[in-house]
Amino acid sequence: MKRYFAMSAIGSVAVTAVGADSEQAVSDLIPKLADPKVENRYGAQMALQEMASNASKPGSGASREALGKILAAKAADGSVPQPARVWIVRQLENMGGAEAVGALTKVMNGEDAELRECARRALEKNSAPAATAPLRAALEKASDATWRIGLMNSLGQRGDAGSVKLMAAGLGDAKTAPAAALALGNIANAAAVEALWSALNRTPEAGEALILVANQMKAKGDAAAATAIYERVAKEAKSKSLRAAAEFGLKPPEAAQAPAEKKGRKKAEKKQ
Amino acid sequence: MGMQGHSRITRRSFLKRAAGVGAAAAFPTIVPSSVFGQNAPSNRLGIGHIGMGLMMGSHLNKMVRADDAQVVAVCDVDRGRLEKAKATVENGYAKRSPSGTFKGCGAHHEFEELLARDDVDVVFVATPDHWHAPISVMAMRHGKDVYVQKPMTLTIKEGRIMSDTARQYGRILQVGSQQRSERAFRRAVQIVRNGLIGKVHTIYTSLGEFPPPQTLPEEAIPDGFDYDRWLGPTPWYPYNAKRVKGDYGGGWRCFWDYGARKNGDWGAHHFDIIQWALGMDDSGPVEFIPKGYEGTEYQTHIYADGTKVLRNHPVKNGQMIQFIGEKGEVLVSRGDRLETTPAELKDTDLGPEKETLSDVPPGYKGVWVYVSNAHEENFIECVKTRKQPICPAEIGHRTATVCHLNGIAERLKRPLKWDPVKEEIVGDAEASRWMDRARRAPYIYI
Repeated sequence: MKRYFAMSAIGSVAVTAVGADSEQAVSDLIPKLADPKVENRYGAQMALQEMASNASKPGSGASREALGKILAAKAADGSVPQPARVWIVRQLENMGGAEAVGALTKVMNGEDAELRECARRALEKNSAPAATAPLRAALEKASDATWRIGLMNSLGQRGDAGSVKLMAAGLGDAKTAPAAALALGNIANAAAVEALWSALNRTPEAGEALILVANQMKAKGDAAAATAIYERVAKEAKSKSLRAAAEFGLKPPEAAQAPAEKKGRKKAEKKQ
Repeated sequence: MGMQGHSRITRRSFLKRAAGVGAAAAFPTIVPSSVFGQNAPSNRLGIGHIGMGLMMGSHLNKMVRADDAQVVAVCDVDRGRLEKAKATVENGYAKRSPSGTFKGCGAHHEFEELLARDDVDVVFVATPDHWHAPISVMAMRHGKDVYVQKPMTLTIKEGRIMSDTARQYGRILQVGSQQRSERAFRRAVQIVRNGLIGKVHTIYTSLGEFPPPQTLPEEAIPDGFDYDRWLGPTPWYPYNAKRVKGDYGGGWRCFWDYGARKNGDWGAHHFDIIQWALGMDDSGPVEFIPKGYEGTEYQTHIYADGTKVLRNHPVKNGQMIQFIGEKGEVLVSRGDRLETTPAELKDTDLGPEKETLSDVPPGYKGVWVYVSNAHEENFIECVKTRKQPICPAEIGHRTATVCHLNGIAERLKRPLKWDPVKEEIVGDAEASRWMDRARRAPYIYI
C-alpha cells in the first residue's frame, strides 16, 4: 500500500495518510490541534489537512475511506478536545463519504453549536446519498430559524425531493421563506414548483427560484415546462425585474440579449 | 470561545427596518441640480456603495464628484466606517452646494436595506471577496446594475450564477479589473492578439506572496463592528483584528476562507490581462500545476494549445507580465510601462485610441480589442447605453475561475485538469467539492 508523507510547516510532524500508522498519526495531532496557545495549532492543522488531501487523491478510494473512518471516530468522540474536533469535521467536509455519515449525524445532533454547524456543512458536502436523511430528520425537529435556514439550504444543495413539504412549510415563515424558496429552486421538481407558485408575490425569492427551475428545465430539454413557468411569471409577478427575467427566458437563445431600458429617474427635485 | 448566538436579523426582516427608514427611501434627499451642472435629478443615477474599506475610497470619491450620479446611500458592517463614509459624501456635496450644507446620505448597516431603496440604480461592491457574489446577485435581482471589485467571486459556481443572473435580469455588471482600461495593457493585448510577436508560448507574471494564514487567538470584538455579519457565509472563527484587516500586504487576504490569496488578489489582475491577450475570455486553461509538485519550480497553468503561464517566474526589467512569442516579446506593467522586442512594435498603429469604443469601427482589419480609458466611467456609460462594459460578468467569471483553480491546486498540492467548456474539474472528486462551498446560516443568498 502506498504511503503518503506530509510535513507540517511548524513542529515537523511527519504523518502517514494510509495504513496502520494513520490512526496514531491523527491521535498525535489532536493535542496540537487543541493547543491552549492558539497560534501553535497551525502546523498540526496543516498536517491534518495534507493527510486528508493526500488520502483522497484520484484513485485513492480505499485510503480516503480508511482515513475518513478514523476522522469520523475522532469527530464523534466527546473526549477529543473541541478545537480538534472542529478541525477534523472541516476535513470531513472536504473528503468525507459514507463512512462518516453516522459520526457527523451524531455531531450535528450534539450540544456544541459550532460543531453542529460544522457537521451540517460536512453532511451537505458528503458524497454519500445517505447523508441526506439525517439533514432532513434534523429539519423536521428544528425550531430555531437560523438552524432551519442552514438545514434547508443543505437539503436544497443536495436536491432532496423528500424535503419539499418541509420547505413548503418554511415558505410560510418570513424568516425562513427566502432560504426555503432557494432550496425549492434547487430541488426543482413538480412539487417544488407548486409550492413556489403559492408564494410568488409574497416572497420575492419564490419568483427568483421559479426562474431558476425554468432555466434548469430548459437546459435539460424540457422546453414546454420551462415556457409554462416563464409565461406565468411574466404574467403574474409584481416585480418588474422578475417579469423581465421571465421574458428573457422566453426568448430563443440567439435573441437572448440584455433588454434595453432607459435609465433615468422621475423624482421631483427637493429644494435644499 | 465559540459561536455567537445566531439571533441575527434575517434578510427579509429588513422589511421592518425599511419601514423605519421608509422616510429616507420614499423621499430621498436630492442634491440640487446646481451642484451637477446641467444634470437634473431625473437624469442622475442613484448610487449605493457597499463595503467602505480600502478599495472603496476611490470609487466613492469619483461618484461624489460625478455630475451624472448622486451617492444616495452607503453601507458597512462597521459603524465607524459607515459614519465616516456618510460624512465623506455629505461633506463632498456640501462643498458644492450653494448653501454650503448637505445632509441626507443614507447609512445602512445591512446591504439588504440599501438594495431595497428605490433611489438606488447602481451599487458599487467593495467588500472582501466572500461577499461579492451574494450581494451582487441580490442587487441584480432587485434591478440594480453592479460594479464589483475583483476577483468577482469566492467560488467557481458563484461566478456561473453571477454571469447567468446578469444576462437573465438584463443588468450591467463591471468587474473592477481596471487594468483593462489602462493604455499599456490594452496595447500589449492588441500586439499579442494581432499576432505581432507570433504565437505566444510562454508567459511570466509576478503576483508576489502573502504570509501564510495563521491560527489566531480570540480578541474582544470592537464596539460597533458586526463581526458575525462580516464573516457572513464563511465558517465561524473567533474574532481577531488580523483576520478582518483590510491590508494590501495581508489581513483577510491571507485566508482561504475569504479569497484565493495572491492567486485571487493579483491573479485577478494579471491572469485577466493574459486571458484577454490570448483571446480566452470565454474559456480558460486546461491544466493547473502548483508550485512544488514533483519539483515544479513555478506555479503553472496551461492552455489547450500548450501556452504556459508561470507565476512568479522572474519577469524582465521588473515588469508585471512578459509575453514570449515565436517572433518577439511584450512586457507590460502599470504606470503605462510597455516594452516590446523588437522595440518598434510598441509604436505600431493598431487603430483608434482616442475614445471609448466597444464596437468595431467600420473597415477595421485587425483583431479588435475593446477600448476603455477609464474603468468606472466605462461602467457608468454602459449603464446608460445598456452596452456591455469592458469587463462584464462572464469575463470576470472566467478570470476568477483561473484564480480559483490555481488556488485549489495550491491547497490540495496536486495538479488539476479542467474542462472549460463543461466547466468541470476532470477526474478529481475532492477537488470538485471546491467548486463551491457550504455556507453558514443565516447568510445564505445563492
